[in-house]
Amino acid sequence: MLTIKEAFIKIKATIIENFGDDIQDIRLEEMETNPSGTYELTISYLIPNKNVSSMASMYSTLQNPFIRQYKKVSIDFNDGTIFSIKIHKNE
Amino acid sequence: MNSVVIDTNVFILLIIGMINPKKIPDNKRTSIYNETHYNKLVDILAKYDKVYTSPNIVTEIDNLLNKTSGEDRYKYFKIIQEIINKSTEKYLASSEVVKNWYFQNVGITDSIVLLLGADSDLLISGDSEVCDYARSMGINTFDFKQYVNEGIV
Repeated sequence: MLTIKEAFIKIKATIIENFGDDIQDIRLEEMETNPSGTYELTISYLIPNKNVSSMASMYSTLQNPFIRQYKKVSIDFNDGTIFSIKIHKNE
Repeated sequence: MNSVVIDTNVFILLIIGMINPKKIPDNKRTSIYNETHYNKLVDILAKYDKVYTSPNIVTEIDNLLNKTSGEDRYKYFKIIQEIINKSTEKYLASSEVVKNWYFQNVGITDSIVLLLGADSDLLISGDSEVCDYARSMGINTFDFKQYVNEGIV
């Protein structure tokens, strides 16, 4: 059985492997169990802000060179299998 | 007098902790917090004379917690009444709030949290994105998720 720390370390490595080396400040945001017994962890991280399509977003980019992304990760704490990494939508 | 602003996420930790700190990990909104985190929050708040809030923040809290069941529901209403009575509520017109550049990124309530934070001595937020913006705006911020994550790794 994985601890939260072990699960989080595994997820961090998987996110960097899949989403790039320029990711920073990976965090655990929320955690819940679902009926199938797996855990759903909400993870956030910073990526370079490349939004330059409008004046508002240009100003945002200047103020905040990074933007935070959220992912919902489904993981089995028994063996560390990661089932899915999905875009997180606020509920 | 020194003042502090608390966002919805941290307010929920405070209220659930006041109801029963043992129940903090059971609530979806506070699932990564525990009693130690609640005690840290209480310690920080004890250093401030005034807590600023807004109708938007209070409404968000109530929408998330007023469906609490059983005896905890009664406790919740007593606690939220006490918090409202002891805090200083600031009204910011939505028509003014939406003029800020960050509104389109964080929405109305978090924009108000940032505006109140800019006018206070400390902002305590459990929303990592709000903390990112607050830091970029030079607001003195206690980033609660950062603090919690430092304890994990």
